[in-house]
Amino acid sequence: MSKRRDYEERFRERYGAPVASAMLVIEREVIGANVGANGYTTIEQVNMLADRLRLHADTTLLDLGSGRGWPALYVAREVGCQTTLLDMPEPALRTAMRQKDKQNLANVSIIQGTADRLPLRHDTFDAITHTDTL
Amino acid sequence: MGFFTIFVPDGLSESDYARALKCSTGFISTRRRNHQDLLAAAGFSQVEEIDLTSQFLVTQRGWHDGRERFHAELIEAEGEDAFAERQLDAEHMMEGIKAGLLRRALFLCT
Repeated sequence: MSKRRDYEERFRERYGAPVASAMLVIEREVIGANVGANGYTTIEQVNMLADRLRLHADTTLLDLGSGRGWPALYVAREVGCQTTLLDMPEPALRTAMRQKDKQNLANVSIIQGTADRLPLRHDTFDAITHTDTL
Repeated sequence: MGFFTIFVPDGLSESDYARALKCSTGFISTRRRNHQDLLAAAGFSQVEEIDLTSQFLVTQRGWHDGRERFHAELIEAEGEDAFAERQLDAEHMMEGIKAGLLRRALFLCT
């Protein structure tokens, strides 16, 4: 199996698995909230990122490798910026879509794709973020 | 652009570099080139690096210890082998962080 396919399979498995309720408790302790996170980026760090990028309601943001939507959906909700999530694994994107709908985030778009072949025009966004993707 | 990333610090010996990759448990498959150089080569300027390594250890330990506390429920959900593998991965990563083989930072650039 190629490295790329190996990674795709790994993330499909990871995002496809149901989240045990215990993980929600742990996530709240580690990340600071239940936001669908399973990595290392805390609420405090995302707030710092949004602040340092000077994100506001009129900015457009692209989050590469968005996974299930943490932290992009949080930023979209808190800041109000036009936010686009981009990733490959379908289970992750489906979860992100459910969260977007649940939170009524009309300012969020979700696209399936990869960062090395962006299905987007140049100069579309004011800011780009990614979280432990590279 | 702003991004969080886990990486191997510059200046490691070949053997430490190999250990670092092992400790990263698949998170890093990088070539030996630091982010500052990569970002500059891609045309980015004003690169700022904010070190988050100590917080990285705290969050990794938080996940590991939390999962240990709820091990019965998680073994039921994930299976014994997968649970043990994830815990071992977390332990390797913590060892790598403590040994200075893995870092995490927020990079900001324009």
